[in-house]
Amino acid sequence: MNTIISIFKKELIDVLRDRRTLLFMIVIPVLITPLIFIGAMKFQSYQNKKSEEKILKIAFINETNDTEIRELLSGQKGVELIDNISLDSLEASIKADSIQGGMYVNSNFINNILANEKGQIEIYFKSSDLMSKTKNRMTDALDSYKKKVVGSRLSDVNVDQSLLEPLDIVQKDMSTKKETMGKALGGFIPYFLVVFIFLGAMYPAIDLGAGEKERGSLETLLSSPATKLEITVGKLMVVSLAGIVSGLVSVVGIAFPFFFIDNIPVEIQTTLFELINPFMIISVIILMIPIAIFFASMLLSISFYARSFKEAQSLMGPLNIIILVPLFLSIGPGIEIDHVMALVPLINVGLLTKEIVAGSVEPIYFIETLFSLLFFAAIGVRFSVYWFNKEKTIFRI
Amino acid sequence: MIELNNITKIFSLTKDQRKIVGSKELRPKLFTAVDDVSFTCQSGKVFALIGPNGSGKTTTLRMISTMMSPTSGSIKIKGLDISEDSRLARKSIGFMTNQTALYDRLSPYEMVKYFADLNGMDKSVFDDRCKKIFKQLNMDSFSNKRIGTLSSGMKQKTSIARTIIHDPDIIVFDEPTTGLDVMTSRAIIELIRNSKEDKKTIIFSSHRMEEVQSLADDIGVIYNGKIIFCDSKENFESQMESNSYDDNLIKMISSA
Repeated sequence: MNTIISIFKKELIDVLRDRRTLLFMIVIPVLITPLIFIGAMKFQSYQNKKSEEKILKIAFINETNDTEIRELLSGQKGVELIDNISLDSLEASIKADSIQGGMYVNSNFINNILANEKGQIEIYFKSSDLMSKTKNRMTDALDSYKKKVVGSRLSDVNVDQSLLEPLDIVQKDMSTKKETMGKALGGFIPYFLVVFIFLGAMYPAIDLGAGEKERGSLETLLSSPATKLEITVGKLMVVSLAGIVSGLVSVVGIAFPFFFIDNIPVEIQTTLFELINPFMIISVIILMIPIAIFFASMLLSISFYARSFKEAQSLMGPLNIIILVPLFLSIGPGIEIDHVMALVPLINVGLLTKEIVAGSVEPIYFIETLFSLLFFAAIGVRFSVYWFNKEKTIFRI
Repeated sequence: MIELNNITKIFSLTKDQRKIVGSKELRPKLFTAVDDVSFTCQSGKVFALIGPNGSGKTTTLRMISTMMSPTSGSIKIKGLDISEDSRLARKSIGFMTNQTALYDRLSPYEMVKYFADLNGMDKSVFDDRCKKIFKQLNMDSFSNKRIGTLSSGMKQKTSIARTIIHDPDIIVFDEPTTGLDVMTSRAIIELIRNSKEDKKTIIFSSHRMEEVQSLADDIGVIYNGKIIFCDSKENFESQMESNSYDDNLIKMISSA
């Protein structure tokens, strides 16, 4: 045990004096997390404002004498009607982005409406224009027109319009603000947590494995009385700790944007401070420990295998993407934590963190997730020890 | 004392390594790096292991240092079979290469303390020995500076201090002076000489024949994993047709 402590102490000093490790372990999580949050919030509100304010040019081709639809469409906010476009050039104009949409009312339309039949209207738009509200503005105008026509048809036959709307749906949302915000925020936290645990552990892992090989210090370490098990465990402890610190710092970093954005309503601020409570922090830390150990063992194994710092970096690069896949799956629609999902690594972290942040976590799922993560962490450690014991790994030519 | 009895080390080759060998039919799956090697290094004597690159010197020294296990055969360190208790054997070994193998972010003191801790040294014993070694090697002026900021000579002194801090009875040097400047090489040669005076068992590999000539008591010539000569320096010299160690080594290899 003394040997493990000696290795742990030495590696910790070494890691804490490494600027590159500190950069990835503390500085980047502290800076990047708030930047991403502030950036995303600002960008979203800017885009919303921009799309609301944008004047959309919509061609209106009317083969009837009726002007009602035209008036409804021109009455929509941010719509500029273009009348001098023919049906033949409509598609080309939209594709060329000279106008954003078009509406074509054919000559039979008004006769069909007056005859209590269906009147056809064609609307043209680009669905790939995601931020554009062209389609909505055209359908909003047509919905108003439809209501008017239906109302008029019903009154012609002396039928009350309320007959068509037998339900008076009164919506009562039972979610607390904490739950709603928790589920939204909880979807982001696992990304930061997992990615920064990984990044925080990566550089120490490279330095403590491939770095030792490159310096030639691994041979002298192996010729000391420390066993390979002790060396691996000592190094794993430091790499895991680096991952945990990095993960924690990234979660704390989430609170930073609220010091920089002035116009956050007091209600939201209060809810947020309710969400980030000691229970949430302790639960997340407990989950982080096995994740960090698992990542540390995986990264250290790769690092032991690599011949150089560079090779270790290139071998670890793709893992960054691989770990994100289960997290993407965890935010998919309809995926909730259950007894099966609680056993699937990383997906369980994604799902459970949402519940923890929302304050609606069930203890059984927490325990199942924790045991699943501990199981994989134990396999990871066992593999690292086995891998480090192989001469082929250590003395790979 | 170090005793090697019929040591063999076989490596299985990777696909890429097999390709280097030549035609497909000739490609072996295994490579014998050390083949039935036996020799003894006596206490208070310096044993030089020489041979061309790839002959098996480093593999032999790594097995002596317990970093690698032999495929067959046995190695005894001070009478103890290292396969029985490699940890105990390692307590008697100091290992050094031409690479300083140091941690740039530690100070020489921290570096030496780390290896003392790994060797389970008591603090009081460490303090006394550390003071003595630092004084001998004139290390006091830089013992608390970061290793990364030191000159190569200072680093080599730190490496020496790290190797001998636990007062090992056996010191293994793997090409200790290769690529080093004259001053730094001199420090290592002095270490070998001093260790011999202290009755340590020393084994070193080298390509520098002048070092072998001035330091070795016994010489082992290894070629293609086999020991083709193992005897005293005097007997090695008696086979020489000229004054050149290099010529004699080449002659031995050519006729092997």
